[in-house]
Amino acid sequence: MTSKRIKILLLLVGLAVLCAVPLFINDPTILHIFIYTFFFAYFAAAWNVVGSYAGQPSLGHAIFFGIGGYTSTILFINYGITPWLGMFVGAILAALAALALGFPTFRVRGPFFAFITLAFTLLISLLFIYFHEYTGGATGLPVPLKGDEPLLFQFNSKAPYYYTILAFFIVIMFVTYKVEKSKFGYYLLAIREDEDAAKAVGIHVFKYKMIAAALSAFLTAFLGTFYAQYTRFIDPHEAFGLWRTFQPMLISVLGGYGLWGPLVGAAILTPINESIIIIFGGRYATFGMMLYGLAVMLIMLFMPKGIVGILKRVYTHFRS
Amino acid sequence: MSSELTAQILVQGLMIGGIYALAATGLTLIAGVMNIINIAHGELMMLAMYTTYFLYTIFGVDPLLSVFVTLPLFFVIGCFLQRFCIERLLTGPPMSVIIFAAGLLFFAQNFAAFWWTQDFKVLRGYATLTFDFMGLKFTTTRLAILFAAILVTVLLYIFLSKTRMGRAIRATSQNIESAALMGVNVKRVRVIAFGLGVALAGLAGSLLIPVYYLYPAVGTPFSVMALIVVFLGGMGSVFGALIGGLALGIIEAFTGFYLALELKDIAAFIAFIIILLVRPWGLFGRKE
Repeated sequence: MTSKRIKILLLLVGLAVLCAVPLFINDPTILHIFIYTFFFAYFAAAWNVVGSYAGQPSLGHAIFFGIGGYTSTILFINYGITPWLGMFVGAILAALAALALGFPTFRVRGPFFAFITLAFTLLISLLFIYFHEYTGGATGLPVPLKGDEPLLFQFNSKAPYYYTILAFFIVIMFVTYKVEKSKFGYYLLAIREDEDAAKAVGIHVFKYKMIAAALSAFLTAFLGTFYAQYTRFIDPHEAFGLWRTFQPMLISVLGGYGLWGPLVGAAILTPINESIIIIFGGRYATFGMMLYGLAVMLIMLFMPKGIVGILKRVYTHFRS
Repeated sequence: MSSELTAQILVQGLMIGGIYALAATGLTLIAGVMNIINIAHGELMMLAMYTTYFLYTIFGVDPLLSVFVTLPLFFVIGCFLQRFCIERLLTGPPMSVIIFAAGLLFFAQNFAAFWWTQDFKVLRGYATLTFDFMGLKFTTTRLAILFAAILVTVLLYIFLSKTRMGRAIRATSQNIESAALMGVNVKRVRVIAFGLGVALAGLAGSLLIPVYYLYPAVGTPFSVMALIVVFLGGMGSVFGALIGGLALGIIEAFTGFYLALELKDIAAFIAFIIILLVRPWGLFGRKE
């Protein structure tokens, strides 16, 4: 068998195992850890399109997350539109927001880009608190409970949520894989490596940054809806808070660059963090977060290529 | 509207601005020398506030006197951070320092939340008095902070222009290669500058404790505001930080009054965005 076939086989086996997880695990807390792992992996993967491939360190993705979560929830509360549809409305709005934000922000580079997107996140957060007639202000919006209604994106058990986020995750892996292998992906890489050189060889830098931003925002908004439906709640702190703002970047950095980085980063840190909370109680949530911060500092200092980088090094070490 | 009201809002803004200026001086010093922004600056202030709080509750040390502890303590912390962490990140991609500082931010915040709980703490060392002067209301503690901010700026300016180390710091922030060629030990300058910047965060934390409730996330708004002030005043400009801080305080006081209290920061964020787009080197900074 060729190595390509082995890879596909491994992928299919992995998928089958992941699909079978809820058949063997009934414990909701363990399923919750699985759900959050894919949740964070998805977030980082969606961010990666702009953050890693195009090399634009966005701190504005919380905006798209929030737009997704708020749009589907507001449409559901006021017009009874199912979040399955509201999710797409939110995604389109988020993509439009990304284009509107990209127009000024893509003029600045590197750390300045990070700061200007951060400024927009803070600004949008204030606006969501101010227009409280629509958004519920600082207290946020609860998603009205309808019981076990699959058509309304509400389930009483964890397993359907697990399959939903797993499906999301498979979609995003497929999309990022396609981006990575496409001409568009190579344009983004060129922009990441040297913007001026990319411009010099005739790549329309601004246009491709905008496309990347719109795609990334579109995908991020889905996660916002998922979050609102899963926790049945959305508020400015969860949507636009500092932690949400930095989350995708930090997971991506921890995992490492590339297609598998987000999953590796999320798969190692989320279970540690969530099991600390489950085993020791809510007070230890801050302890888990403390470790998270420490992990980011250590990775930056000693392993800038992330966990994927370490795994690769170990792998080549044993092969030779 | 009456001129008296305008004057009162102006005074209010200046008193808040003093706080922002005090928070920003350390950050701008670091930014000038290394072209980096330590986004965990406010978190270091928060740690200094806790230090001051515990010095008072456990040892009965007056918050004002605790400056003599926090200043050297945070100077050492800063030197260590620069020598063993930031220094090795400076050669990496430009985002490294920001990501490292983000890690530090979440570490420090959750460290405080874990060991000292999320509860609000109040240090009742000084009574906050309000007095009238020429028909305007002043708050003693805030006025003291404003004067402290001005004093710190002047002292820092004297240090930077009159001492050998200060001149070396300025030379390094102007042109690192030339400074090195003139015999400045650039690495040592960076350690001292970062130490000094963090020491100023410690000082600010100790001085601000009579005005603020203390909780683990108290530093984040300071980080944000100090960041805006640094860009407003220009990276590395000490007087720019003072003027930028005061300007931000005044802007905030007026928007809070005319628009809505929830929107008091909105003008600051918009100003920040415009500055980043049009003059990223700041109003008083030099274009590189």
